[in-house]
Amino acid sequence: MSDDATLVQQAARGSRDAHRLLFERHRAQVARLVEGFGRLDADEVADVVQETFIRAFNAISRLREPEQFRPWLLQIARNRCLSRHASRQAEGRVHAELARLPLDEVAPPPVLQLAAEQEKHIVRELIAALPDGAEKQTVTLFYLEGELSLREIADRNQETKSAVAMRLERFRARVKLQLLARLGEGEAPSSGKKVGT
Amino acid sequence: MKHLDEASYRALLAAPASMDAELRAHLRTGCDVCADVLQSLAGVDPLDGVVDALLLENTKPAPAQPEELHAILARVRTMRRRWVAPIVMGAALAAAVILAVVLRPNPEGDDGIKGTPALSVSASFAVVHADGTVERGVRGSAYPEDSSLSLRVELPRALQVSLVRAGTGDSEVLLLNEPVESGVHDLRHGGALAGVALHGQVGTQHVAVVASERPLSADEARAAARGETVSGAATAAFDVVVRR
Repeated sequence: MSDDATLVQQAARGSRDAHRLLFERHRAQVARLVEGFGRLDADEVADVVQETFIRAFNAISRLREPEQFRPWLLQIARNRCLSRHASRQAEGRVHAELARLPLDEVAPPPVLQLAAEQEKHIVRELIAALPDGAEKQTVTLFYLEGELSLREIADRNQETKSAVAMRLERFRARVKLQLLARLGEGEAPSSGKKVGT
Repeated sequence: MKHLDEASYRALLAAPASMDAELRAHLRTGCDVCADVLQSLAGVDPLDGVVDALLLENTKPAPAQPEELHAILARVRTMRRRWVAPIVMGAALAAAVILAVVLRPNPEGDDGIKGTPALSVSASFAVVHADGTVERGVRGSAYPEDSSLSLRVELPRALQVSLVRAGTGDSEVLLLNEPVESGVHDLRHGGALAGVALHGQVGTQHVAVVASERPLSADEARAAARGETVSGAATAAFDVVVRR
């Protein structure tokens, strides 16, 4: 099976098969991210999943690091979630349509990929370190077992969907903090590597 | 130990290797205050994509719906058109600057500041459609409500810029109030391009860019957007019609 980088290059040349394979390979994760965002209804989730792939495929020839397709795609998905939510909530505040244009800026550089490859254990370690309780149970169900939807977890715990989403966001911040701590580690300060440029 | 804040976070993203060992060790402790800061940040940055990729590593594959893929591919440009969007965007914005929208320099001009260029502002806009295509914005034209406007301003020197929107008969809404350097700039907020979402704004929309020597109060910015004289401020404004 072709890897993402090969498929991205083929998709950039217009291959519909490559588009299809990338969609089939990554749709579940995009859908889970959008659903886990927790502030969109079911119709909006479906719309945002579609918008994410449309935007990614239309900009795919500008992805400078084809092997970074997945984090790039998920970054677009999160962007679309925020944008859709803000559009509904704020009616025209500038936040609503941020980052519609700068898809070129949505490309993690190699330094981040290295961090991600080396730090795959972080999620499991952080979950294991959580005290027994609601947060540990929620993130285990959503991120480790990866089957139940946000709604199903909320129903199981007899709580609101937004309460589950907030717990996931909190855990996400913990993971981000740990990745940040490892960012650029071992590089010389003058290496000049930058994020998002 | 000093905690993370938005400025230090952005600086770290720009130059990760510059992080000192003490801060790195502090972040590794899982500091709740620093996690709060990360959780509160607006917008999306490259680290977010990596975080989500890690978190979603164990997502169970789900069969994709053929009709969903069909709907997506129907809106993906073919190779021949792939480069249209960025080219059009660049050309559109450049051309629109020349078009210049209504410029209302304040009669008090440069407020008596000698040796500095007169206070003025010109603004232009591009229309970003829901499918990601971009076209030059034309004053008075009609655009769908699922599009947004991206603003570009030209300033003779560093000024405070306010962005104000109002529907017919509605009160003005202050969208943005940011310092902007001299020259030509796309309006940005929080490091990303800023735009005016047209969603839910059907009808005529008045959009005003107010440049001022000093930060204006919200009332002053709204007054300037209405075309009233505000000391030390100049306004460029245009109307668009938002259709369903």
